[in-house]
Amino acid sequence: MKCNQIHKKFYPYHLGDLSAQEKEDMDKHLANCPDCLALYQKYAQTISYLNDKETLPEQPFYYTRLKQRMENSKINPKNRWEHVFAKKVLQPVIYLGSLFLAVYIGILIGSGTGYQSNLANNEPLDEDYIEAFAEYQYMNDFEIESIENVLASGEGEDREENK
Amino acid sequence: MDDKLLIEKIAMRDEAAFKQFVEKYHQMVINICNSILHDYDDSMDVSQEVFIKIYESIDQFRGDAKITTWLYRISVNKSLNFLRSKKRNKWFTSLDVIFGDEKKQIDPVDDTPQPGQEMEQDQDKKVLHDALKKIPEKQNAAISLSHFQELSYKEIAEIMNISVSEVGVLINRGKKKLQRVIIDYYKKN
Repeated sequence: MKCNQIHKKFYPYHLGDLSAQEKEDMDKHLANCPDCLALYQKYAQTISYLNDKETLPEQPFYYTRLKQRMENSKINPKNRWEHVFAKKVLQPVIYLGSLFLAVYIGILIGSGTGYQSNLANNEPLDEDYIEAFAEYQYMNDFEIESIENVLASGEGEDREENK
Repeated sequence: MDDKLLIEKIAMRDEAAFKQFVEKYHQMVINICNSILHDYDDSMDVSQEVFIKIYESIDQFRGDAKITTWLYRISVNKSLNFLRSKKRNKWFTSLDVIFGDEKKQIDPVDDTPQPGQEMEQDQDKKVLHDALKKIPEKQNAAISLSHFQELSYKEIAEIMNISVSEVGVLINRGKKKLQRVIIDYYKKN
């Protein structure tokens, strides 16, 4: 069995719900695969905390705090509705608005502003850069030649013979 | 004073009866909330909401179910609602971080090392509690009530208003999903 198939059977294996053959296969795999064994041990340890009953300690002054909260909500029922309105309606609307605005600005930046694209269309084609590029193909007035040209001209062989 | 009389008096807005009712049941309600929320402050907060809801809607209590069943039902519903709204708020909080609202930024996780085994236990418990919050809420509620509150399937069925067999299905499916979430977590970490 592959490791992934083994992982899927951790729950029934832990409960003892597997058939004898499946259990034997699992045992064999876990004995030979330290990674799966470690993962199973971690899973079994974690799931065992389901049986830990957590009890919070006795709460003194609970009723006083509850009463205070009830009083607060009584004093300002209008504020409560305003709060609910702000939280449930206003906030999502503002977030959505800002999200759309951000997306719109992003699209604008991505496509370039109208002014810039007009400029790009009207600008005359500058052909000087072709000459500048051609100039850079030379270093100190020497043309940079490709290795193929050097070999074809036979200079490389001459050098070898001189050696 | 028995529960029936207490309920009648609370319905007539008797403060003393309400106080007695709260004193009697607050520990139970806090623990129900905590078995789903696994957070002290949140459990305190939601348990107060439960009592406020009870005070406001005491007339709706028909008396055909046990008062504890009714308390369980309200506590579970309030806790699940709280988890739902927290998930929604998390989305907005992450937006607050993007837009630079520092007040709402997520608190940094306390990474202070604790003594060995205790720290590992706490971490494993946290993994379990986080995994429970990631599975469907009904499955979470059924598993939490069954394990942390040690309720029978019949009691859970009454609280969740479903059949006993449905409780079994919820718990079984929930545990399978839990297995997947826990294993995924440990594979990644």
